Amino acid sequence: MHNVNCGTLSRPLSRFRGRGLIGVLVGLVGLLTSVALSRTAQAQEMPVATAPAESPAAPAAQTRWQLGLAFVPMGLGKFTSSYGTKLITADAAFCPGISLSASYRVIEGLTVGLAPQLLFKVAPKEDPTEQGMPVTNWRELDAMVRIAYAYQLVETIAVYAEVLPGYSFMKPDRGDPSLGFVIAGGAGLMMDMSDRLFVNLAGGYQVGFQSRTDSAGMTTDTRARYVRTVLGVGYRF
Amino acid sequence: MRTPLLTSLILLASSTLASAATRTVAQADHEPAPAPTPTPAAPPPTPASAVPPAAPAPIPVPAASAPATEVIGAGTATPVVIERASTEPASITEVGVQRLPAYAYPEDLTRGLKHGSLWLTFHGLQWPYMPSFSGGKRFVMGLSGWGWIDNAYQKFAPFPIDNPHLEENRIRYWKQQARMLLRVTPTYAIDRDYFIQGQVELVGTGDQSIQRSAVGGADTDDLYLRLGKWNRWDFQFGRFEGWEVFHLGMGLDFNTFERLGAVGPGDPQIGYYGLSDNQFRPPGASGNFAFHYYPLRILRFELLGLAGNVSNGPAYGTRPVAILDLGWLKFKAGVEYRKLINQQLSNQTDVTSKGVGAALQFVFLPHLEFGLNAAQGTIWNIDGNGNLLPEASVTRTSVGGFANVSNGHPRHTLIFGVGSLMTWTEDQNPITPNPVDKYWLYQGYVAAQYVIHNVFYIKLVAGYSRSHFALAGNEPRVEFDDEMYSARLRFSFYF
Repeated sequence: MHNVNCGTLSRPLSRFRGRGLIGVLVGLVGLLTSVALSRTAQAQEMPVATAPAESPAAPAAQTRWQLGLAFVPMGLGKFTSSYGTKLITADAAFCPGISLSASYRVIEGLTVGLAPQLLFKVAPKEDPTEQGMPVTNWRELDAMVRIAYAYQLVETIAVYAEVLPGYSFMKPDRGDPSLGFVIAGGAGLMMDMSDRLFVNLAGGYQVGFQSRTDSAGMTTDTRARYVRTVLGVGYRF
Repeated sequence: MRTPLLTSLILLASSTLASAATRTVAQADHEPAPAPTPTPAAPPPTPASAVPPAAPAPIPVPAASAPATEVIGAGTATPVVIERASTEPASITEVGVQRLPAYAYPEDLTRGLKHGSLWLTFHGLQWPYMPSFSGGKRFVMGLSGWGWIDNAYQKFAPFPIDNPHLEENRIRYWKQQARMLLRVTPTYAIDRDYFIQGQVELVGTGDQSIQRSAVGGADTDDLYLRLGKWNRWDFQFGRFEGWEVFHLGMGLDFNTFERLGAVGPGDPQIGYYGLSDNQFRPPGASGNFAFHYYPLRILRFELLGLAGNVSNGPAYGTRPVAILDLGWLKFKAGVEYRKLINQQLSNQTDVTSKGVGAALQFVFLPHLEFGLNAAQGTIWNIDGNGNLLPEASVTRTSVGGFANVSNGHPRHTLIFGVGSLMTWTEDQNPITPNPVDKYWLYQGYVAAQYVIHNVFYIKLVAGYSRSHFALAGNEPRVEFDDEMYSARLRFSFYF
């Protein structure tokens, strides 16, 4: 199997010319397959380890900055708003969001940075007035500061806690925006994929204190609070 | 002076060696070769074709042993060879009891990220792989198994809130469930290639809200016999699962509420379809039979059959599946068919289900694996009078994907997993004035898993599910939704 596919590897790519796109694709698949198989074959020729060897500890990267990108799905939450003269709190709809972060390591384990996040569908599940009115969807932009402390459990694995205070800007499909403070907090696991690349998984809670002032000068609350889930990837440099 | 001294030393050494050999033989006569058990059940990658470093010694079978011989006058000009008659087989046959070693879990090509969800499936490979490495006959009783304990919380939140019929679905569960099984695999290796194997999985159950063990007492998962040639073909009969096509990842585990999704007690039934009508162990007095064929190291086929009594009626079915496994890429596809009739001869009940499904999976060691699945199945339901039941005749479609990320650390393995699954069900009821019933169900999760000493798994899964129902029989149709949030902590022990 190994030798057969080595033949494919040795063919010059120019032979794919004139075969069209399908030919090139077939060639690429064959190339990838043969590379993968040859790696497998090489692995088989190596002695079988009877016990997993301890890998050498990855050298601690002397890095100060880290960038992160996270998917922030908010599955469980409450949405509060004024409907006429009534302030109603209702179950919030599933709300997907994304978060960016840039942090600086102040001391070992402690990082401080900025972490803006954007939530795409801040709304109740259904019309809370039960009048059959269409539900208004809001977008929420949270400009937050991120303070996190990570504790290295073992090499490549750390637990961390984070607090994210900030200011929030909620914009409905149409109408006046709602503004106010927001704070989020949580805890999670961080897993190193290399000495610089890592992924993180966290859970927490977010509370908003937004309110809006309409054209008549009346101020009412329109705010959301969520159980916050974070699925992220980051890079240190 | 030197000659007597040398002679004495030689005699002393000879007697020591002889006594040592005698002790070894004596021990071997009375004790079966111990199984090499330092390796954990969750094995390191071991090529199936490779000879393991610590293969168990073959257990001699008395009836097949050659007649003993004795040579008198060896080394002289006239040696005499005496052949003794074969003795009667021992009344007690020596049996090796062996905790399944690492090589029993074949991984000729990678199965997936170590300790990940793909790695815990076998992609059609013959396992437990227990050949005779010496080429002689060998009988070994393999022992293995696993157990898990779940503590899970689920909360259902149906809406609209003004629908009084949904009140019964406004519920929450907090349950601990458990399941542990001991897998006993007697294997008779005829020679290096051919084998006869049985397997029974003895199950202990802790309230999994499933019917089979509701009566309490003994339960089994696998219960089968198999014979064949390693890595070439085999026949299998009994109670066992068909090869997996649709892979769900690190969440939505079997026997969990999370797997059922946002389907409350009062909701119409909807569940994911993953070429799974004939995949799982059949209920009742029915069983499977299968022919497995391995023409190439990377290509495997299963022709699964089902026959017996299912839901108070005779049933038969089939489920052929093919797996192309390049290690880093796995492509699985299959179809299935099942017909269920009523045991009363005059009853015209005829429930026919058909389906097709496929999965594409990628493994990039040691950090990433992911996959996509799709399947569609139909049920055509005719009642006892020969009339079509359009509301019970449905088309089910599921698509899903998963991704696992591991730190790849050999001792401190941590894996994050995510997955999503979407299912649509639509009935065959376009008869005026009834509208077609349409349901959909979304299931998603995130998971984190840490492994201790390669055998103890700690997994935390957070799940979200939402369903939508549009019901026939009413005009305007009744529409409502249900949601479920769940958190589950599972401890598993693989041995």
